[in-house]
Amino acid sequence: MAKPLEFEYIIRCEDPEKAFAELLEARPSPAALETLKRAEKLYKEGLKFDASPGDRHDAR
Amino acid sequence: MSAPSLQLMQLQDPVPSEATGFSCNDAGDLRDFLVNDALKYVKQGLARVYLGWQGIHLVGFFSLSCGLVRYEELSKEVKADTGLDATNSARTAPVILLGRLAVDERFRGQGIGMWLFDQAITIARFLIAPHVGCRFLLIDAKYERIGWYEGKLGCRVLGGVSIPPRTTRMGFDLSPPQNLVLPFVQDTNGSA
Repeated sequence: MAKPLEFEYIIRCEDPEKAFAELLEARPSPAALETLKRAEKLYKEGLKFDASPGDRHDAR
Repeated sequence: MSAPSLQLMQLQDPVPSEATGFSCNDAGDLRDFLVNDALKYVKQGLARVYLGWQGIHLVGFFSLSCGLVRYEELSKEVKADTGLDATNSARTAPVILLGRLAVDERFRGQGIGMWLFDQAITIARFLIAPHVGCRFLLIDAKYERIGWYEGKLGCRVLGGVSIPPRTTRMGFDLSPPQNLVLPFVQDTNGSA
């Protein structure tokens, strides 16, 4: 029987200095940069949304 | 300002009863969408609708769909800044459409709108964009909200035609800076 695919994502950066230089070069607006930082934080904390109404009631 | 104890849930059948009490000073259009149309959109695959809860209170929602924006709809400045010009023969850019972002008026001023927008960006930027090309989160912003989208959230006016009345087409660039978020590498451990 086929096994369901399981994926694990690993964050990797091979050249942080180059990445930071590119970030500065891209010159996003300060507000956009802040939004991206908040979104990145949400993602790293584990974005979670549950589709189950039952779970919503459990969470109350 | 951070909004405490907020939860995001995807709309499924049935629409929660709290939707009927959703209060928004827009002549009821947003509540009507939530009560009468949102689930139809979800079932037909036209949108995904996300509900923001603060305890037992339904405090806001937004919808996400796929879309396209034509290069000719973009202003010269946006084309120049994004590099979107003649490089794509289709002359269109894929987008995620943020529709109907709304906060219940009784819960405004708590940062919930920004929190909902951040959730939409997180979904688009980190869950969709690594796997499916999409350049902008697209918003048809009401005139009175342009300053908020631009100044607080970093969106910009794209130019072009905005379909809903009294709105302007705005976008949040999902692509650069490419390395704000470090690239993902798929680990195949555990795959079949």
